[in-house]
Amino acid sequence: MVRLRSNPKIPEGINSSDENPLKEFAWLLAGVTIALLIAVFTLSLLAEWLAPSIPFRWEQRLTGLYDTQAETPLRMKDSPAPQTLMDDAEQAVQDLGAALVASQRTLNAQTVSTPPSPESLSDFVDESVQYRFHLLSDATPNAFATLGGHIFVTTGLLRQVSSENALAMVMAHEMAHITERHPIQALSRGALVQFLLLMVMGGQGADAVGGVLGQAGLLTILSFNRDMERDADGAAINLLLARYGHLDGADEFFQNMLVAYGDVTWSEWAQTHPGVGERLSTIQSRNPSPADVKGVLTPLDSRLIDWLQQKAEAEPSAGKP
Amino acid sequence: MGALIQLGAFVALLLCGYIFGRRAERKHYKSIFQREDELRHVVVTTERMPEPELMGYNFNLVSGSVVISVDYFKVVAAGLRTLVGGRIRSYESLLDRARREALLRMQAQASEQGAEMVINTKFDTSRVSGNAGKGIGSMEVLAYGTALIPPQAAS
Repeated sequence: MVRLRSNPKIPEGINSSDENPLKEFAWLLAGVTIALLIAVFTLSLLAEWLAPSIPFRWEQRLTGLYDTQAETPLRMKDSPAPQTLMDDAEQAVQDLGAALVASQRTLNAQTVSTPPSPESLSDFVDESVQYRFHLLSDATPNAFATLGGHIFVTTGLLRQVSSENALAMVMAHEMAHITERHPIQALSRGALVQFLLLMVMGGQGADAVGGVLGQAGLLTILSFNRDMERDADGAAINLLLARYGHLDGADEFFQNMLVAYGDVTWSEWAQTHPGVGERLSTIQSRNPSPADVKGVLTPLDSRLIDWLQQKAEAEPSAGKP
Repeated sequence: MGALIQLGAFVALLLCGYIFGRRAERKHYKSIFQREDELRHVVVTTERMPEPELMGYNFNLVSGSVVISVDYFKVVAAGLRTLVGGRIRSYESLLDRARREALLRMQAQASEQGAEMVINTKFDTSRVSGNAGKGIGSMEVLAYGTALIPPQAAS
């Protein structure tokens, strides 16, 4: 019996593969990402189609806890403005809101002669939609709409507007979000997509892959968000045209933001809102009054002017960026 | 903006992992081929019973162990595989290298002692630094056997 004198040379490629790992990785990533994007897109459409059927009263019940707190206006602990001026300012905001709602109802009555019978799910209009306006003490200029018909305007935003037209544009935009039921749509969509990602990623390892695929899903959702913002802009423009007859002064807030922060051009697909430049040109293109002739701007409510003056006196360094 | 930064960081780490990982792997394989040729005279078998002519030989336990870690690119590729299923080629090459390296180290230890042969060779694989749910982080492979040293070579 002859024993082995040297180890045989074992051929390569049996226990490992010589194939380029990049090629395999590219295929896998492309396939999984496309499948995920299709799923997110479909779920988003589904959520947006079905979410408005959730009764508005359910939203109100959810935010009902906040309603009792909202009776006393929110304020920062060390705000120098005395209580009453802030209350008055909030009342002024609420009055403007009520006026806008009334204008909206008139506009709806004018455009629709007979209420149509809902033929499909998307025609169903919830009659119980209500709007509640709040003034939020915050230096950052912002306005947002939440579930239950609550619209918040920050005091920082009040400093960015010098006419009622500008403030009305912002408030009408937020009102349009409520009318179109965008908050509940966004919430449903977000919940569905999170659930999908949890199902796919939850039990597995590779958090990095999960994070990246989650971001891919998020970017798809952002495109839906931008469409919602465009719709809200359009509805707000309709309301302002009906109420004031022109859009002069409506773009003041956007102009200020453009000056302060510039426009987003290349990264628009990663933003929640369309670029400021696009929104400005939308307003300007639908403005019926000629460029050289300015329509009459409605001044701000006197209570708001008082409050702004008081703020300016208390903080002389604060002002427009 | 956060989405962009996260994507950018991911791609950067991926490229880093791929470039350095491939380089390390290629270098390691070259070293493995070279040493396998050098140590071809230390015969490795799984035989439990040595041949009768080896009766007078001295015997000794020899072992070789190695710990190899994955790079970021391998982890991500494996993560995608766990979604779709199939051969995880990136880990296969990792384990192949680890096993052969462990075997070579065992042979080197045997060769230092003047052994001609290593019988009853066994492998043991374990995971080091438990990465809870993040996939295989680093692998330790142990190869051990009985080295047979000819009587005249032992001092």
